[in-house]
Amino acid sequence: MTKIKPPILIVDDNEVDRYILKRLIKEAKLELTIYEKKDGQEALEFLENYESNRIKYPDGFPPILIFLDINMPKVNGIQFLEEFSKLRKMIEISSCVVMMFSSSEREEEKKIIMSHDFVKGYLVKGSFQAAELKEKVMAVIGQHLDKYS
Amino acid sequence: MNISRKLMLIVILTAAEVSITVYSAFEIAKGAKFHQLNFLHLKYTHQLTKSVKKIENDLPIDINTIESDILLIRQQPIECIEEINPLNYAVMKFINTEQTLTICEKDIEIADRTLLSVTQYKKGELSRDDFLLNLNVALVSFNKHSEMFEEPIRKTVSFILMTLIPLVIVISFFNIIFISYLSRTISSSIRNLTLLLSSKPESNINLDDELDIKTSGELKALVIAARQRIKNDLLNIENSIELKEIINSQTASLQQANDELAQFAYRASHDLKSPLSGAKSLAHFVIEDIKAGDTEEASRNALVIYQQMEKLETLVVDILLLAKAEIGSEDRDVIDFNQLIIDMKERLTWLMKDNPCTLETTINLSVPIKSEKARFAQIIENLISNGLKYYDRNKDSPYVRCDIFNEQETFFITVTDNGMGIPQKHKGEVFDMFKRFHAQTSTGSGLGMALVKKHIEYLNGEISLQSSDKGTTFKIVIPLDKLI
Repeated sequence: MTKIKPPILIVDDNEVDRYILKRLIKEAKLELTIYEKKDGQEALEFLENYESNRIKYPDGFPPILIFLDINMPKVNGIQFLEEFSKLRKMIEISSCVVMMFSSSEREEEKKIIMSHDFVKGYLVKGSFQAAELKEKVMAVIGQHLDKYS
Repeated sequence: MNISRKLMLIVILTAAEVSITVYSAFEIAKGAKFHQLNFLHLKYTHQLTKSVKKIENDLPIDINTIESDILLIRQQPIECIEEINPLNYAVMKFINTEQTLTICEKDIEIADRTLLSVTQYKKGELSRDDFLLNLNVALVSFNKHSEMFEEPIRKTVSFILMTLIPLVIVISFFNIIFISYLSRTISSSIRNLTLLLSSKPESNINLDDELDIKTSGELKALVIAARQRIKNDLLNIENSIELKEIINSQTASLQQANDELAQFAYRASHDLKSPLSGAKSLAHFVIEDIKAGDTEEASRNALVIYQQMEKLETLVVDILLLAKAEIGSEDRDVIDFNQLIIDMKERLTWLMKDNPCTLETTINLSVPIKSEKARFAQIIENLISNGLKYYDRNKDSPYVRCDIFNEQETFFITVTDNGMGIPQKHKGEVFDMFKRFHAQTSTGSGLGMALVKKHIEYLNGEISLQSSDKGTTFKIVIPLDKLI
């Protein structure tokens, strides 16, 4: 039996930041299927095409965790969270949670962001190592990892 | 005549009226005194007559009584003369009653003569009969004088009464009329003034002239002083209102500048931190990869670090340019736009190398443009490089076209492309700092258009844009007087 890797989504316009996060995930030895989107709009489209993506990725959709940047063109992180909370009521992605992944530490933004109950953590870019990332990810989606394995 | 003069006249008239009244009272009292003196004269003459009668009846002569009687008789004409002052004399002379004085003088003379007879009789130089004769002659004269005295005194007193009382009445009458006239004119000019000042504002176009005509004297001075005072007060109020407005607008613009600065600081620090923290993480990976012997991955990441550092450098340079854009420079010279375009093309080689766009520039200037070359180089380079970056891959012959020209008093730069256009909803944000609308193709700092805007504002110009999916046109208009 092949082991199914739990799917996650990284939403960030910065290629370098996406690479760094992927590399840290790899270092942490987290076995995950990783989708990447360059802004909030692309990510929303990806989630909205629920039915077709379920068929396209039978074992890897919807993602169980989204790493979300804040400063992005078109639809930024905060706007994405608004739309995502509406989307959660319509389609079967309520098990999907969000972990912020940003270099911004603005208090007023943080307050708005953390008011969404599906936002489970806040990682500040460049301030954490692989071990820390693993710990946080395990705390949020540990039970899913068990389920998938 | 002004009010204070009118009032002074009333005071003078009243004073005259009062003094004439008092004077007449004194004169009338004096007349009464003259009558009284004449009565005493008659009384003492009568006493003397009784003494003389006794002598005629052969009774012994009481020489002392006779002498004292004569002295008493002599006293009234003396007092009478003392009472008459020069003014009385003048009046008497005027109405021909000055014989009063003559009567008195004669009376004194006779009394003196009789007293001499008394002395002569005492010494025995005069006989009893002669003495009696002298006394009788004197008595006749005394009685006659008393009789004669009454008429001119009555005449004088009645003259004083007949002249001064009508005079007092006339003056009083005049005074009353004058005071009422005066009070009427004062109150009416005050009333007129009140009416004039309380008239509706639209009807007082010529208020100044009206005031000039209708007021005079102290009221005019009062109005002028009041008007000056009100004018000054209004000026003060206007000034303070103006001051408040200035403060308000300055506070608002300071607030805006502060907000902009806060926004700028946030975005700048974010955009500065992002490549730095990326590079830091990548450097860490490079170390690990080298340790692990994966030099390929290490060198790939080292290249990314290099690119991150380049990005950081561009950002820092742009921030510095933006800060400089607000400060004027003395470095003004005639700009050679041909050379400026050549230099710019050289700088944009990296962008034009693999770019399918054609870049066409035209320069059509009838006057030399004198300004800071760096501003125009940055404006033109930013607009053209944006056009080159955001060309539309789906169009057959992508182009960017820049026209630099002048018409009369205005200098124009237009940059037109047939690129992908700016989405309608983002048009308002084009000149904001750190805005990038095309995620895939964005490479700059997001400060370029903000920098363009700052330069154009500095040059008192305006920039407008038209954009659709057919392409974008930026039009810059700068008044020539800033560029000569």
